[in-house]
Amino acid sequence: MRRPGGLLAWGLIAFLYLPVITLVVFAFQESPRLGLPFDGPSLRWFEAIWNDAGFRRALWASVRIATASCSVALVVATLAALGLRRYRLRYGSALSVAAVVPIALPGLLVGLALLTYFSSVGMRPSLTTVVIAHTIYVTPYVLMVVTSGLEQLDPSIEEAARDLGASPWQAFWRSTFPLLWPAILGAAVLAFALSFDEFLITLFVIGGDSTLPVFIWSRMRRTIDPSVNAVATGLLTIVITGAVTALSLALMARRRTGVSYADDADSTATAVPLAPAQPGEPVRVAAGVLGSENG
Amino acid sequence: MNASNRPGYALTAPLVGVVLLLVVAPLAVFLLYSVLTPQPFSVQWSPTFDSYRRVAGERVWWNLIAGSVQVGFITAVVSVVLGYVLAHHIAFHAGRSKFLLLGLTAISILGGYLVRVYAWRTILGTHGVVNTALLRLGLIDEPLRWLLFNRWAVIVALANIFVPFAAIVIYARLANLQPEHVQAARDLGANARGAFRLVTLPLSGRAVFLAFAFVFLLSAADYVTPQLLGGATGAMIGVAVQDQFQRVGNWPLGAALGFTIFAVSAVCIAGLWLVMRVAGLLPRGGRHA
Amino acid sequence: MATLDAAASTPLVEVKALHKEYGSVCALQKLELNVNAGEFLTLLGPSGCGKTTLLRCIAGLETSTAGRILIDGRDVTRIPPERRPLNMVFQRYALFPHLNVFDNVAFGLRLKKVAKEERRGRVHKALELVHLPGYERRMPHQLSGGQAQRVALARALVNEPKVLLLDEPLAALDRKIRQFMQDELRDIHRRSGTTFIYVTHDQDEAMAMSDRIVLMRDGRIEQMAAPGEMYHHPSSQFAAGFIGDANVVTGRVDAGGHIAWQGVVVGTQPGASTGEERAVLLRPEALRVCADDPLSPAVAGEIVGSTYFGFYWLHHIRVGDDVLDVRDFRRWSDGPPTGACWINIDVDRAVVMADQPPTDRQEH
Repeated sequence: MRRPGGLLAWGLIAFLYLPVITLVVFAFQESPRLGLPFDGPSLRWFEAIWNDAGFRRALWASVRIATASCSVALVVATLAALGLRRYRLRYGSALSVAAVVPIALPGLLVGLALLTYFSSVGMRPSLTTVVIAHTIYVTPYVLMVVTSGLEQLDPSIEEAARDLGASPWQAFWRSTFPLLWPAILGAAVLAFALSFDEFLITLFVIGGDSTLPVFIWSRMRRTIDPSVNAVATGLLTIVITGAVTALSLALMARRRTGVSYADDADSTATAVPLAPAQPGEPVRVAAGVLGSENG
Repeated sequence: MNASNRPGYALTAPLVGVVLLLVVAPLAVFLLYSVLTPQPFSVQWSPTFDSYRRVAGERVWWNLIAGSVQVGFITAVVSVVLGYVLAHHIAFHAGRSKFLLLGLTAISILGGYLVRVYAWRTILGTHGVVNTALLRLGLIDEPLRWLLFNRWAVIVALANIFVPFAAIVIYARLANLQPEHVQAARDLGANARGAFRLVTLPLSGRAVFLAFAFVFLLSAADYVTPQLLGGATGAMIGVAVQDQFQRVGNWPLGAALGFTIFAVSAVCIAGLWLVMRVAGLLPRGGRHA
Repeated sequence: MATLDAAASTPLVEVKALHKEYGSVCALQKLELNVNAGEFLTLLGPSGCGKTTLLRCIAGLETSTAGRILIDGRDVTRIPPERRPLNMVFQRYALFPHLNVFDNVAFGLRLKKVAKEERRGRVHKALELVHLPGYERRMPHQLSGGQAQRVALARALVNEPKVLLLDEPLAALDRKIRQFMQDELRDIHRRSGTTFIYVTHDQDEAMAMSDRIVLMRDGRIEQMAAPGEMYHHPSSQFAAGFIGDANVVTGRVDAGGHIAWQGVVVGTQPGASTGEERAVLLRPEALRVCADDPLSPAVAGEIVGSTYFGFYWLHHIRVGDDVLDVRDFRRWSDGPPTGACWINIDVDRAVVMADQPPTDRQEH
């Protein structure tokens, strides 16, 4: 099954990237027509968008929102990851599951729930409500990535630090954090990228302003020219750069924390055991999976 | 409370706060709203089951729900099957390109939603990629107009988004399987296909189920893809829900519809669980591999 | 007990010029090996010597770069594992976690479409063979290591294979269980009459269980012999050191063809020229420590360290440039002896080695 399998797999990859490639290619289209033949390349649509004040406002709004929600999520989720990992808490598993709910549920439901909630407490839709929404949306991802990073650390390293006289905070800061920071940074970058791209929830809780995806959405309904592609390409660049960075950091975390000794006996198979899949474990798995087999 | 665990409670307190205030509470309010009386873009605090009665009674909603369930189901099947093929290849046949394939798949999950859906208009449109290719190859004389603005366009776009997700979830499970199990099956007389059917598949059943459930739920409730690609025949309940909230202003009805699609999806997923259990694909001991 | 001189009948398994390369690494170097019907053959060697690779090639789980494998006269080199008349027991048991014991053991029978009644009977008999009757409904995760290994054995044997391959099956078990299982395995081998090919890196295990040992090193066969032969007449210093404890010293040939070390004649080498050096193996049982007034032949030495093993002391004694390990079964209530001592040598038990003496002196 070697050759046909390979063809199929690469074919699937091509299918997966078809929309992205089409989108980017047509952003460089010269004429306003969104179809073949391709006449270009041209940067006119990028210029047009860059000069659009609405675009710049939306971009800036997205940056602020992403920064804010990413920061909050980072703190909340990292602390929680440490707490869940190191201590046995009565509500431990319930919390882990509940924290993942915002990404297990469709954006429609989460968005509506938040909309009704804000309305019932008298908050009007605005950029603030979007920040809150994004924080809840992004927190599960950060939690999963940091947890995954923690799981690869040998707990006895921190115990050794305690044994040598360090207080819990010192032990964390000096022995755990130096190994964990790539995971934390990776989670942060991932959160930033996800917040930028988030749309389904955002559409419900945003007021008159726009984030970048919302800007694209409204433009998409009004005009049918490659300017939409141009913005979209911009958004994609940000999001994909973030994703690649996050994955590389996760990988780096893997490499640095896995220790094996030169004469470790090995037999026929390897397989590092991961915890069995729990409900709604998509990106934790994605973040943790690269390198789940040792090299 | 055990004193040695106290720091744990302190560390997790912020998350507990966030979860309670911003996950549990909003969901509770949402449910609550579905049984209140509508007011334009708001509610009156008097309970009533009217909204649910309307959902149950009016045909138009059920057509939309049925359509959504169909889209959800087909998308999930396609995503899981293609995702499994991809995952299996990466896990067992990839050799040197394993890393690259895995990376590309992972990035594809994280790389954009709205814009990818939008791109399908260019791909499936009358002057789009597919039609131009078919014309050039001489397979058709005129562009096909039926590629876009129907249920299938929606399914294709959604599958494109969810295949990588299913692939990664399933891959994570396959990568964890001890190769000796398949080798033992071969040693005992199974050929490659038999070993897959009797060993690999049951042991990866949970991952398959998880991926399916997730994709089903998210696809059935999608409201953007049908608006961009669905046309008339590709309408889905999510659009109606959004409509109720943002245009019509009948929030309780919108909430009731939203809850209904969730409940219907949950029932379907539970049904799948039963079917898989009966078919031996969700074995009891399957987690101990 | 099965036989060494089965030269009359064709061997059951023949490995001919088997060669296996992984990129730049050569795992098997043109190996030649015959396995006789009914024997318990062990492939022994350090990690990386190729023993597991050889076993897996015989099983069909790996393909060789060159060479052939014949079973019962039939060339199976290109035949996939499921169609070879062999079965394997894996190191980590590899029981199917989603099936109970009965279904695990019946797995191969079901694939062969054996009828239900016969299947039940054979599974029952196999479980009795491994002393686990009544375990049919248990799940693998409910079994202890030793039990799981026995189920794996039953699962393999129930198919009545011509050869049973075992890949370090006891390596994952605790020591006491391992010893128990070694006896079990020998017993099952005897009762079933199946040919066993066993892989291990543990020389005690190999000595205890095998009819014949194949000692491997770096993809080659170092020596192939029955355990006793291998212990008393190792063909090389590697073999001597791998099986049992060994002290290897360098002696010099004198005018009469005698090999002398530290003034003691430890062996003869007819036809050797005067002045040549020869390696001589002195196993611990050939040596005895005395404080003074030894019986000759003896050499003088100095104790430089001692380790306690419960029922004996192991002394490290320096003699000239060598340090020898010698066992001492006496009880020393005030601590072991130190300082100068004599070592009594039982010259009849010294073995002259065929290969070149070591260029660096014996150090432990």
